[in-house]
Amino acid sequence: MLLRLENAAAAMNALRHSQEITANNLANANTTGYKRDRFFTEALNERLDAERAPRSDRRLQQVADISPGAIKQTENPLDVALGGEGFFEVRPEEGDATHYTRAGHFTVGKEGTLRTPDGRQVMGEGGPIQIPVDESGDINIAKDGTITVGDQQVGRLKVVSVDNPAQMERREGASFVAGGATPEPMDAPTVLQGMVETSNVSPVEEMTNMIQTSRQYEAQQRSLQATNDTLSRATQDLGQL
Amino acid sequence: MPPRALQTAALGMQTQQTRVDNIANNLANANTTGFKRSRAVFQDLLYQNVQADGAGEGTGAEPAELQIGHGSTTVATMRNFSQGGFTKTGNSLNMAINGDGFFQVRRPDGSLAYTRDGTFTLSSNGNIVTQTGMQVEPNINVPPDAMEIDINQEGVVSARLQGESEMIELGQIELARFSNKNGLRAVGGNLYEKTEASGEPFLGAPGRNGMGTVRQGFLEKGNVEVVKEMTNLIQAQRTYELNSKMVKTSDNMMQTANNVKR
Repeated sequence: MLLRLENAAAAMNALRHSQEITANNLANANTTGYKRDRFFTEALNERLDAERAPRSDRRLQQVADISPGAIKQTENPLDVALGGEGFFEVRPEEGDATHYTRAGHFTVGKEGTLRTPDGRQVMGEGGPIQIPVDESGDINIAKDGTITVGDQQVGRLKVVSVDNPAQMERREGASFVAGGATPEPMDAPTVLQGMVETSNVSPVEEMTNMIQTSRQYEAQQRSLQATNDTLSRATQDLGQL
Repeated sequence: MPPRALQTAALGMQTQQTRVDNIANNLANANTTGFKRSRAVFQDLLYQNVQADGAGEGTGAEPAELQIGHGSTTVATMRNFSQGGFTKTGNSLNMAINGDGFFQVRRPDGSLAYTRDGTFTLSSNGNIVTQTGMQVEPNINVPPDAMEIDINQEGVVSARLQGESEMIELGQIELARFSNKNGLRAVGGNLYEKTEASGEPFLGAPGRNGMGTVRQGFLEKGNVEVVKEMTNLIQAQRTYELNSKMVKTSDNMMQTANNVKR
């Protein structure tokens, strides 16, 4: 009986986290390169208890859905999308973390280096990429990631592929850190200039998840109350004996 | 319980609001000469690692580590400098740039600004100026007895003076280009100023070295595509609604939690 109370409370807690994940997906329905989070409940230790009733332990698991978002044309020469797999490598100013992202929305930032809008440096094959904006000539980014300004080659975007993206951990800026995954440089990426990858959130699906989660939450609450009622009746009835 | 989902959804509403504001600005300027449309760029916020308790008898596996996000925020607005259409005005001091480049104008504080709006006029002392009286760089002075002004596609300004039959050359319109024009900062009044990101401009006559040509008697319309903006507006509004539903649902869930004890 007490276990049932505990179970319902734990389920409510997990459902709250599910709803937080859904809220974050919805809030990022228009975030460049955002990869939606999926969640599922994992059941472990399935067994029969002393009363021969089926029991299992459950926990909420989460995984980033790295399926590609739609590619949108922006005509900005520093916007790049990846056709096919891979991630761009970017580095925050502070610390030595390396982030991987598919949000190829770049600008020329501090010290004339190529950066993300929040100031992280975009890595080329030989480190950060300097864009000599004072020199005459258009910025061109070739399919293999080579950046030229006028006729001058200024670097090549580093694109890595990740075999087991489920092992990566999320960071802000539609990014990931390697975590347990091993990023390998890609030989022949497909870099598309003047385009960005949009968020892969499907609002309808998130809406369905939202409704489902909130109903399950109510159901768990009812179960909690019912158990509580039964317990209180039991204590009352026992007291009358 | 911390109302995280509530806050996340509220931030989602806020970013959509920014998007709507931006679209409204584009639409309001659909008929502004030389206007370039912009769009807001969003990013997700930091993730918190949360230990989710498993349900069961406690003999089970370790609790799962969840990463819970905190919504989204606006990080930039990007301008799209694609070519706008042309309107014929017939005014000899109206100019449109067909292709890349900006007119340079001198602001009252002496600094240079850049614009695609070629609605020029003559000042009281005969200089070519913008509607707000800023002088076009390099300065071109039109004598008061000029009968006819001609500007060719390469920006050479010439005039026929009263009683003369030949055109005389008055000056040369110079355009400015930037390697990274998306780095320019909009300062209102259809003007842009250079920044560290845009770099220094390189100057030249129209029609050469990648500069656009100058069309006399035409103006460049804004490059806002009304249908596209309307579609974006509908999308933004719907996403706003979805986020507001999430606010409501999270509120209901908190209420449900509060009602556990009757």
